[in-house]
Amino acid sequence: MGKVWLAVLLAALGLAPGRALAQGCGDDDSGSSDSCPVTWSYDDDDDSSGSSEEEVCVETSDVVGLQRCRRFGRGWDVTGVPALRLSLAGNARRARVGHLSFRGQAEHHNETHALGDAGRDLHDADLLTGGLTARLDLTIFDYLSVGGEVSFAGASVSGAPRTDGALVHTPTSVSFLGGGLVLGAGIPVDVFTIRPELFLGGRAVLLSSETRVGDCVESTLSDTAEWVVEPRIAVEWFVGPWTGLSVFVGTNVLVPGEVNAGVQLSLHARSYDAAPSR
Amino acid sequence: MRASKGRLAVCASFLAAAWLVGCGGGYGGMVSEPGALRLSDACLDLEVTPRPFDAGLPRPMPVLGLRIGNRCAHPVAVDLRALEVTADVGGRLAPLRPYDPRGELGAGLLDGRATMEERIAWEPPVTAEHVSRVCVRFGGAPACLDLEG
Repeated sequence: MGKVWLAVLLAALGLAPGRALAQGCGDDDSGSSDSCPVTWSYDDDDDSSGSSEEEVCVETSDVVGLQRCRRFGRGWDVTGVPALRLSLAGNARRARVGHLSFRGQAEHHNETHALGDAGRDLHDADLLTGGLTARLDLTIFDYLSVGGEVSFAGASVSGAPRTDGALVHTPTSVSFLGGGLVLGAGIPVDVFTIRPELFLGGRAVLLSSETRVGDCVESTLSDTAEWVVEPRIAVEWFVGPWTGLSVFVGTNVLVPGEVNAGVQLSLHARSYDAAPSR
Repeated sequence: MRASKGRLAVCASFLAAAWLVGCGGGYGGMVSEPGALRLSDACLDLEVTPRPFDAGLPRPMPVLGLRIGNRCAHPVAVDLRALEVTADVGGRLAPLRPYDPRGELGAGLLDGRATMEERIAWEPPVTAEHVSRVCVRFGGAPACLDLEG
């Protein structure tokens, strides 16, 4: 039941793990599999909306009340402007995959081979991954925040080639596609903000393998998904009123020993997150 | 060795971008124009500068450029309607009211370390034919500004 919800969550974030993505050797039916009708359209309408003339307002005065194009307060009055924060982070994660089971399919010579890999069979079940995280947060009630996050990370792996009948497969890399909700608080201290946070989400874990049947070699993906609950602590340094640089560290409580740390650059729609005091 | 140099370059670019973006804004103090009036309160610096008369105004009235900088790191409400502006009319201080035919003047919120600028005409009483000196009260005692010379 939990996996169903996780699949729905990841699908909503556009991160749903697909089935095996191997393109089979000798797959010659690509031309006949196109069942979607194509509708060709041509832009032969001369007075399309793109060519409409836009009126450009020409300002005639700088004095309030005489200005044609601008209203008083425009450009500085932030009443009603939400305290949004857009962030991009580079992070390193000590990820553990030993408890995972990957499922996928490989196609060779128009034959489908089921793949089942256990994370514990990898030579490195404790991985050091590098990745990127993007997130958008909204500060609410002055000191609390709620946001969404998507992340990608990857690492090379190795493992002994496994033979399953005629199929030989060798793991090559693991990728993580994650997404979820981040709840947090911001405690302003001078030009710093201390942020205790909680990430609630999930991730798709994709194991890339090289599969081989005879002389036919393919790159094949098998996948699985899991929940992530990660308390974090971050310290943001406002290098400018609208820009912050953070360091953060967190641990996934569902996978003991998994640690995530990184550096994050944030752009703020409101200076210093619009905290009423600092 | 080559990979570590690449990572170093990425980190350096990241920090440089942060520094450039971060130092690109934020009010840190005002460099006053010559002849400007400078007033301050707990968070805000106000600079009042005489500006030329605008031919679009219905009658002669002083035009003042108002520039406000927020020294605090939190938003501050700014209400220019509450600004006390008076004119020296025959030795007596007569209150001026902001020229606001569209009723757009109102309270606004100025973000922390942000600045704002507005140019407002101030209507003298109909009995005042000519205003050569205005006084502005912003928190403390009023300070005056000669509009000519």
